[in-house]
Amino acid sequence: MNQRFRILYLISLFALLCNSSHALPVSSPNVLVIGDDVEQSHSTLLSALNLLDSNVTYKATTSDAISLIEDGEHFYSALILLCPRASLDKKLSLSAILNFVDSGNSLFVAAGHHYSSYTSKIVDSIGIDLDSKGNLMRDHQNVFTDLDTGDHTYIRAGGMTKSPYLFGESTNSPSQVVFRGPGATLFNDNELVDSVIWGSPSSYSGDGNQITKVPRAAGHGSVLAAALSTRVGGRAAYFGSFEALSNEAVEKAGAAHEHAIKSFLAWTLGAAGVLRTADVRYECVDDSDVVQDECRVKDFVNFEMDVQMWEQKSKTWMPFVTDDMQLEFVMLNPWVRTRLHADANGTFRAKVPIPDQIGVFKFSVQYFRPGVSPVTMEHVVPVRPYWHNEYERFIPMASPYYVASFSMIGGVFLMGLVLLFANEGQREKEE
Amino acid sequence: MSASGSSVLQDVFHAYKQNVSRELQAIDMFLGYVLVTGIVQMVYMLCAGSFPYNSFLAGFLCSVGVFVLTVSLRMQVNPVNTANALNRWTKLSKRRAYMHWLFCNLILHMAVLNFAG
Repeated sequence: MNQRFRILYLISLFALLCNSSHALPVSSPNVLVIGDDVEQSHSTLLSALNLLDSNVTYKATTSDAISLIEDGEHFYSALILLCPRASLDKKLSLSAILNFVDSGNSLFVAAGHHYSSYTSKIVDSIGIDLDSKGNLMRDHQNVFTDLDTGDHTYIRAGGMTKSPYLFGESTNSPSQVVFRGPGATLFNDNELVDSVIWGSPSSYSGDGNQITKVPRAAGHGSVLAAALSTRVGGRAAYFGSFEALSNEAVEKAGAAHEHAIKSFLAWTLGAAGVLRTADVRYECVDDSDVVQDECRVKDFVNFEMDVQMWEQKSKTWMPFVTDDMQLEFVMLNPWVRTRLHADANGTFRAKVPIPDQIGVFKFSVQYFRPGVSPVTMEHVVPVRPYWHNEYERFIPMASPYYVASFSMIGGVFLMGLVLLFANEGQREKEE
Repeated sequence: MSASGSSVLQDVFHAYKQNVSRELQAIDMFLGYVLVTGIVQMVYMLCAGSFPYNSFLAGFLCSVGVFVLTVSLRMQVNPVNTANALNRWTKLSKRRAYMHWLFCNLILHMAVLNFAG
């Protein structure tokens, strides 16, 4: 329990410090893989690292103290744990790993049958609740017959997030991905983690005996793989089946499975879906689109923001275009919510009407989608009231009163003339 | 004399036209006009709300003020009142009453125009 609160606290602490643009997605090309003999048994998966020009270091679980820090900085930018049964508490502590992810680096952790409590602690911190180590995900309808030994534990996945960043551009169906491992569910209170591969409706997590109570993970709610993106650019990926990542599984399952897991690993290292906001700018205009120095109530604000995505192939920041980003104008609660429209250059624009309320507002963008890094932008805007000479001079609603007052003046004037000159004829006659 | 309502009114009007001088009748018509103006403003306020309250007060109290000042002028100019020895102002001339009326109207309208906004 403490671990998940800890990671939420650390993430929110960093969110306060961090505002707009992030560092490059990959701070250093060094990658650390911890596993026993995975260089041979999982080489197909790990060949994805070559495409990213990574400098891979392999360490066995029996190594001496494994340190991520060298000269006070994180030497590695990615940590891949392919050792679900190992217990590395003394060598690589949980707090060191959490610190690693909170600093903007990547973590890929694989769980498997009879995972250790060390693995369970790490996975807890990401926001995933594993079922007991003795249980496996079973599915009697979607068995992967090529590798299954009869107990229906080697299953086909039921669903996958359709994201070109997570699993590459492909139209493969999720049932091409195979799995043999424990089931899991997500903790409800973590908004940064998403389930990206889940079981089919007939899947459940059990120990092979007849089911006597409701399985902790079943169907759509079961998590076979999950992805977490922190606000500072760190990523953590969970894949529940160490066996399904091996060369043997990849050979039998086919190219679609291979493509999915390699893309997922590449995503974790920051090859796809890394966003940054750049150049937030706004100007306040009045009704006739004349730019003002200060923002006043009932004016409009032309807001512009550039969002860019890192492209690994060309190693540049390319414009990011989407139509579902939302901008809020917030002072304690959002007063205005509007959609940001993007043009081809990745510039998001909106014209925000300022409400009839003075105070200090802020523009807020909170964009969380699976497969892309979170876009959280806040920019403060003070709003001033009307000056004394900006009110309308004559109020149309008061026109009867204006007319009456002036007609009284006219009437008094005419009456005065009448009183002076009306009797002149009479007086002359009298005289 | 018949006792029906309409002929009482007719008698009143007839008596009015005979006994009241032309000057006073003119002042009475002006008073009627001021009264109508005041009533119209009141009805408008009751229908449309008192939003620029200062404007409403300025317009309405302008009508009321002009009405009061003109009534006081009429009282001072009326020969029935000037003939009565018990009245204070029998020695004051018509001209002085007229100047007072003009001066008070000036002050009233200055205040009204400033307050109406």
